[in-house]
Amino acid sequence: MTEKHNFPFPIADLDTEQYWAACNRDELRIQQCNGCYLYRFTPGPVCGECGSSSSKWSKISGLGELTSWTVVTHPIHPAAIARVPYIVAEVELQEQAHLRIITNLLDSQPEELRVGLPVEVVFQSHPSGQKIPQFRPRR
Amino acid sequence: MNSFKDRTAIVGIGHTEYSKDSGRSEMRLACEAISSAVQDSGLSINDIDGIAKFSWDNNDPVLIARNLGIPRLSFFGEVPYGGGGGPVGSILLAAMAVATGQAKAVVAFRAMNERSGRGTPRFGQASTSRGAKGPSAFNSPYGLFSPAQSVGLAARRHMELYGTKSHHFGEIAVACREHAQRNPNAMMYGKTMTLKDHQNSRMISEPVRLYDCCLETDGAAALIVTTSERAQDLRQKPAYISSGGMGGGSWNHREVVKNVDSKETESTVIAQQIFRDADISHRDIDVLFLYDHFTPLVLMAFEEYGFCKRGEGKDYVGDGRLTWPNGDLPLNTSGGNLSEGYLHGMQNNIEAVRQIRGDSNCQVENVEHVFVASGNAVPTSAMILKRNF
Repeated sequence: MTEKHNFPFPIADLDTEQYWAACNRDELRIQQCNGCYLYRFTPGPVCGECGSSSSKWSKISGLGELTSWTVVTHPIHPAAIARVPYIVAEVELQEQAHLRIITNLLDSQPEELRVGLPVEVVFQSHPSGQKIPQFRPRR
Repeated sequence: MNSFKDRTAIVGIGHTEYSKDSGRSEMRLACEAISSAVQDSGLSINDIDGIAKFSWDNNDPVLIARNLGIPRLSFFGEVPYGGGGGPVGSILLAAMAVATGQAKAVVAFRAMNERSGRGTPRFGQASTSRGAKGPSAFNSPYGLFSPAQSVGLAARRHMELYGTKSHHFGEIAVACREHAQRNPNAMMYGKTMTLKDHQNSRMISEPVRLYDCCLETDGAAALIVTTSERAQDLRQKPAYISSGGMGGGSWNHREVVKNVDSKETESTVIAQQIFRDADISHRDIDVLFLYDHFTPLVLMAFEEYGFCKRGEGKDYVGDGRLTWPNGDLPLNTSGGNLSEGYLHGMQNNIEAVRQIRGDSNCQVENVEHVFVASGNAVPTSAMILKRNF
C-alpha cells in the first residue's frame, strides 16, 4: 500500500553517498578513520579527532542500545498526520561510546522503552526507493 | 587583562508590539524598533554608524540605513547560529566594534514575522520538500523536524539520567507567565497559568508539552551600544557590558540531540570566561535572563552556566525561586520567549537593561549585576551587565 504523503527521502551528497548506497544493500556501514580508527557519524570529510582525511566504510554489527526517545503526538508534516503518535529515538551503536544515530523504533510500545534497551538494525524501503536503517528491540 | 571589560554600554532600547500578525513588513518592523531605540538613547539617527544583525534576519543593514536615513556605516556584522544563539552575540559584535573604535554607536536588532509567516517561515512547522539534504537527511526521513521534537529527545535523556520530571520544567513556564501578567506588551498578558495548567497542557513531542514551548511572534526589538564614556552623557542610565563571550564546540556537531551526559557544553565555555572577566561569582547575579525557547533547555542552562551542578536543575528551579518579587533569583522578568514574545531573545536583553535602569514592571531591588544568555543547545553567547563601574 502506498501513502499519499511520505516523510522526506535522504538526498545523498559527496560525503554521504557511500553510507546510503550501503543501506540499499542492507548493510550499515559507518565511516571509520584510517588514522586513529575512530568511527564518525554523521559522515564528514576529515576526522575531528586526529585530522586524517583518509577513511573507510566499515560494516558494523547493527546492534546498539537506546539512549533516548520522544513520542511525537503533534503532527507538523503532512505525512505525520496519519502516523502520530510515532517514536523518534536515539541509539548508541555498540562499536563506540557516543556513536549515536537517529531512528524510529519499530515493533515497540512507548511503555517498554528505557535507556539501555537492546536494539538491532533493520532496513526499511522508502517509497523513493532508498532504503533507510531503522531499529527495533532485540527479542 | 581584558580590554573589553566595562568599555561599552547599552544606551538605547526599542521594540514594536508583539503579535501573531503584525500586518507590516519585516523591514518596517526593524525600522520602527531601531528608531524607537535611537529616540530612547537621546542620540540622533546621524550618530548611528554600525549595524549588527542575526544571520537569520532577512533585513539588509544597508537597506535599513537607507530607509532610516543613516548617512554612513563604518561597521556591519552578522552573528551566526542566529536564531537562538544570536541575541547576546549581536550585542557583543556591536560592543566589540565600539570598543575597538571601528564605530561609535552600533545598533543590534531582530525583526521577523515568524508567527504570521509573512517573511519568515514558522519554526514549528516542517518543510514539505520531498527530499532532505545535509544534516537533515539523517533526521527528516524519521519524522524528526522541529526543535520541539529534538528537545523531546534531550529532555527524556535528562529525565532518565537525573530523575527530572515534567513538573520541574513547569516551574520555569509558570514563573515566566507570572511575570508576563505585569507586562501589557506581553502576548500572554491577562492569561494566567498554574502548574496544574502546565501539567494538563497537551503533549507536543513527549515529554515536551505545549506550555514547555516558547511563543511564535511577529515583531522587532533593537538595542544601541556606545562607549561607556559617551554613555555617561546620554539620556538614560547606562547598562555597562562588564563581560561577554561566545561558545561552541564539538558537543554541538550533532545538531539534533543536545548532549546532556557531558559536563562541558557551549554554555560552560562561556560561563568560565564571563564570570572570570567580570570578576564576580554567581551569587552576585541579581536578575537572570536565560533563553527560554523550551523549558527543559532552561533547566539545563542553570546547570551549564554553573548556577547548580549537572543533574541538580530539578531542585534548583523549585520553591518559587525564579518568581518575582519573592524569589531570590527572578528569571526573565518581562515574561521571556515563553510568555512575552519570541524575538529570538532580544526582548530578554531589553528587559535586562530595564532592570539595570530600574524601569522594570517586576523591578528587583538594588540591582548591580544582570546575567543574560542566548539559546543553549546551539553555539551561543552570554554577557554580564552592571549598573556601576
